[in-house]
Amino acid sequence: MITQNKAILNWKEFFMNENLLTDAYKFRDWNQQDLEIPEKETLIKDLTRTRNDDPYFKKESTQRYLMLLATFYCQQNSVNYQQGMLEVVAPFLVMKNRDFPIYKCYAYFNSFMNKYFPKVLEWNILKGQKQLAHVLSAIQFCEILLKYHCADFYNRILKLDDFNLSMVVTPLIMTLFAKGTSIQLVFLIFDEYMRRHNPNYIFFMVTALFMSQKQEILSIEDSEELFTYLNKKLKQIQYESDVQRLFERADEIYSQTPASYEQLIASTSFNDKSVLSVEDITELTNLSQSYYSQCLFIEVSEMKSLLGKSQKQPQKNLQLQLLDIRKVKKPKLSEFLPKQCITKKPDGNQHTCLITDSNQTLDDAMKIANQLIFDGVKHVSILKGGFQSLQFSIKQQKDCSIM
Amino acid sequence: MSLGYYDWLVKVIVLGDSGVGKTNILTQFCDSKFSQNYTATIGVDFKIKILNVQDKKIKLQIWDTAGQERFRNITQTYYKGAYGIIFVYSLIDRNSFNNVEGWIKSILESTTDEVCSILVGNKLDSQDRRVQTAEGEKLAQKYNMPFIETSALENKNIQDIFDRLGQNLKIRLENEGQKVSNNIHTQSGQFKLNQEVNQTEQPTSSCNSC
Repeated sequence: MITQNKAILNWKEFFMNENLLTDAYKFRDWNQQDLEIPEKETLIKDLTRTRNDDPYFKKESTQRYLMLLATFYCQQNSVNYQQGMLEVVAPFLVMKNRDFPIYKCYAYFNSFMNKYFPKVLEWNILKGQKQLAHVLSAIQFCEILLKYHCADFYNRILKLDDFNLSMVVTPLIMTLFAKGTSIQLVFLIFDEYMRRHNPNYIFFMVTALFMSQKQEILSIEDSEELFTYLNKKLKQIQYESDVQRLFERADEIYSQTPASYEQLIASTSFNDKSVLSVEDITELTNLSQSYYSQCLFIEVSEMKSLLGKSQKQPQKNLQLQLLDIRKVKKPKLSEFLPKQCITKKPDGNQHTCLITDSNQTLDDAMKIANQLIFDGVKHVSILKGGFQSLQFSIKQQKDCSIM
Repeated sequence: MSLGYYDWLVKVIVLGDSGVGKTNILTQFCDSKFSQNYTATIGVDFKIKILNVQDKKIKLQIWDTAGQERFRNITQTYYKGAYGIIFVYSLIDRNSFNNVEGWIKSILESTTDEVCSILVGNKLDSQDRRVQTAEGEKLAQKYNMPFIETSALENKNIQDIFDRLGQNLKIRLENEGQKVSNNIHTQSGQFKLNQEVNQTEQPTSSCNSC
């Protein structure tokens, strides 16, 4: 298992950039006098509540270092202190030793946050409804994946009154699985996570956690028992083997998720910057009210490459079948696309993409998609822009060969 | 973990500033312990406990919420359907008392139905009191709710919070039940009657006929 000493060596390659040393020197040269940040009082309260079952974190000196790292990070990035942040600071502080001073811990932590941490921090000027809007979006990104890959399970938890994915997902996203997890396993999780070089991977990890316990969850009939299970067992990773399984499953989900999913995330600027602007957050808020947050939409370009109608190689190796749900099925899909890709009854073994008339019929398309998901069909998506976009794109393509 | 027979299932939420002891109150009540290894609640947590109120059993579905103000966008989604609310402040944190009225107002804004509430001043064990009993009483009176001072650390008055809340819940639920039996179509979505019956134990409550 990876330890703090190994992490120092291994993680250097992930963090090394021109800013790393600058950040380290900034911290080293900081006089540590100005400790003012918004919500400083909450930070101070949380110092004694971070890993306080570990004697190291009970020490006053440790708690001071935690405070310094979090305070300097908030000041430098103009963000509020956010509960959960100390759980992410903790493993970086544990790396501190004679050869790895506190300012290097800061530089690594800062670099980690900027590259890999999901964008759940916010400018300290934000108030009211916009607060944590991006966390709500992150929860929706998880929900899209869960709905896509695990229809039966999704239906089961949806039937629970009062259940909201935020119950399970919030601490996972906001502490990157660190809350309630032993520090050694946190090193392992962060290590595996960074090896994927993809901050969106957190969503695949969350989905993998649900799916890895699907059988147990489906077998629990009592609602309150299920709530308790989701609240406690699902939030905790106890063994090294759990971490291995989690990432194996996440890799599998990743490979079976259309690239359009990450294009959606990219289109929202969700992971472009370390801290989102007011405009970014407004955009995310709008997304949460749109159809695109309710189901996976496949981009025309991806569909074409998956069906061999593009010079571009598909990013993922998926077997895609098309279900024509247009009211008037003219011209026929088979005029544009291989017949063997068109189905009349999706079976869930392949990825099923619904072809609509246009965006005006998205309401109907959503109803059909939801019905299929309700019937337990997995891997259901909708073509973004509908048939017209596909037709237009294929016609435009010079090398398009009509079947 | 079915906890057996109950008469009513009720959703209760616990609100208050960060660090006032919400989670410790619940751990003391539900698990009969004070955990020294406490952590901040990120988002929401969930606990179940059956409360005996005279001849009735009320199954409490208790939602423990994060105290940091910005979590409200998340925790507010859990306000819906709450039938009981426990507002907590810390007797040694003046700000938490000043903010508790904000929590009360946030509930008044988000719920249309009347809820059973109680105001709790926690950390009675501490010598460094910053909020006087009379101030808590006055605030509770203003919003017409019971008031109690507690210590989760010493398990002082913790059961009383739920006993007093339970009494009010029972009165309210019996009134609601009356309305339900008068007009079955108007059954409130805020609580459930006797949904989980232990097969080996015959229900004896009068509410079985509801």
